[in-house]
Amino acid sequence: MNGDPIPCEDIIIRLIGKRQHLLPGGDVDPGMFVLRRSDEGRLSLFRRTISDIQVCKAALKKPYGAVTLHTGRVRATSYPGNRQIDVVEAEGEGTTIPGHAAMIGLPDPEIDPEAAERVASLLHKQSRNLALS
Amino acid sequence: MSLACPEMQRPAMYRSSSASIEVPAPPMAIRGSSSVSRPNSERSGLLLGSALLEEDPLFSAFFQEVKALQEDPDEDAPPDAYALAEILRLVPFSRNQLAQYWYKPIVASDGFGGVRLTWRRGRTEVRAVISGAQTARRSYLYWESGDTYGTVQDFTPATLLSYLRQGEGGGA
Repeated sequence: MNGDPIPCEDIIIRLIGKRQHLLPGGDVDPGMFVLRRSDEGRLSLFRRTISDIQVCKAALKKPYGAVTLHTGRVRATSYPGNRQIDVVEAEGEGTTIPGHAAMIGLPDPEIDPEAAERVASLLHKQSRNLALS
Repeated sequence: MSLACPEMQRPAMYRSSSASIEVPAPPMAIRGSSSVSRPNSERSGLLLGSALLEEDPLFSAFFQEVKALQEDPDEDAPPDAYALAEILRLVPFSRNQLAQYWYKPIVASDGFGGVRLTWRRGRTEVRAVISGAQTARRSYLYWESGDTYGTVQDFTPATLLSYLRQGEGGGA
């Protein structure tokens, strides 16, 4: 059910929808984990065990790449201010692709930019590149 | 020396007074742009920016990259004219002072009409987030080195230079 936490063992996929977030050498910009106004307070993700990566690719106009994160590690990481970041089910919310999920609890960069930047760094450090081809 | 404009006066805590011990002004690096008189680096920023755009291929290429975000069809919130003007006020001083040690930052939009500039060297990262006109949030400088990090709100050109110099010392 939407809003329920997904299992800790799930690998989640975050698609890179902006060319600027993919850096030379294959690394990604930590800024891809900072909320934007259009994100409406949460980051859109896909569950690797359910979502077909090729279908995910087609959902974006131009996916420039993707990174994966381990749900359990996202939850277990120590964030500034003892912030709790979670990954929850979000089926049918903004996309019809099965396995849609959302990362919630991220700091609002308009209110607490320092926390937003630090959390982005911590998520970036634990992310792994995923080949889309 | 008397100052012509009231806003150019230094705040009371830094003013010399015969009744109190004179406190030296803080280093430029920790001043906010609205807390004290504008330093020369800031006043000359726009003029310097214009000159660099004409004469410096590296700076010009950097600024073109920023401007290209305005035309990028992928952008949900392209940077506005205010953000671009702020870049020309804040960045040229460090470009000028660091000379050959200055390098182009990673450029991206911030999703609120502003721009993110990231300078990365080794474990040190400096992120200048320059706000656009449509957000109440002020521009800020975030720095990180390993597990140490912090933020400077409303930074000046001299503050940016100071942090980029520290990154330069870190080496890659």
